[in-house]
Amino acid sequence: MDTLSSRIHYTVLNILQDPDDADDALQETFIQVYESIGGFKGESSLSTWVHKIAIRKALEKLRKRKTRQRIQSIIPWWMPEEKRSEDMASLNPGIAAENKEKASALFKAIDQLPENQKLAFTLIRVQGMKHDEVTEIMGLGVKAIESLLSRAKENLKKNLEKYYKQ
Amino acid sequence: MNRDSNSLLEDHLQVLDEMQEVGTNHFFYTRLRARMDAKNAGEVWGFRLGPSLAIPALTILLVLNGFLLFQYTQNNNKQESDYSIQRFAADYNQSIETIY
Repeated sequence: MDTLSSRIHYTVLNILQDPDDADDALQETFIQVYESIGGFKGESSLSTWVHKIAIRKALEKLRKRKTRQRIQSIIPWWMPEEKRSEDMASLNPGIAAENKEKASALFKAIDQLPENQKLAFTLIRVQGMKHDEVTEIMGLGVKAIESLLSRAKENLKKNLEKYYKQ
Repeated sequence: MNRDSNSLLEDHLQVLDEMQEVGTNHFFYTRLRARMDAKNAGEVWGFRLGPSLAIPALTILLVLNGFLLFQYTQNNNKQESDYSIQRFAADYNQSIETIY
């Protein structure tokens, strides 16, 4: 269970890039697992099922964060600014100090990707999951995942170039 | 240009290979336990306003509102017609006094 929770924590941390948000998402995941374990039919492995829940929770948090940022940029007086650092890499304890700058640029570029591309890229390239595992989690075929991955790489190149031109 | 952007990406992707997996916080399970206990306590003692309760409550409120509004208008109309009959009688001196 500890290995599974560590793996899931790493997945949500890679999606959210914020240890506090990742902890929160993981807690919500376990509560959901506890409440709906009776509904688990064994169609996929337990790990995949829990991963699906965790990813859904992480994406919900990500959407809320983006909505909040959007509202904050339109009406700053309405919503107090989050005390969250903009530099996502500095918040991820798994990144070595000498890599923080590059990682910061990379994660900013990843954050700008469309949701599906971001998820496929994060699970395969950042998390190191196998393609068949990701197809099951995302509910897509292998070709669709490969296409998302290749589009994500193209967009990342553009985003990184833009970042360094600024 | 394409080669440059390719090498830029590859250079950055190397960071991912050197990234270390981070486990959960030491107090994660304590916090999770506390949150689950709080949630369970809230469910036992708290008032859970789910859609199954909110929709009937709203319907009852609307029906009650409609009934009161109907009663009010009925009452108003009655008073108005009573008043106009009395005024008509007074204007034309048609008040009937009976011996009874």
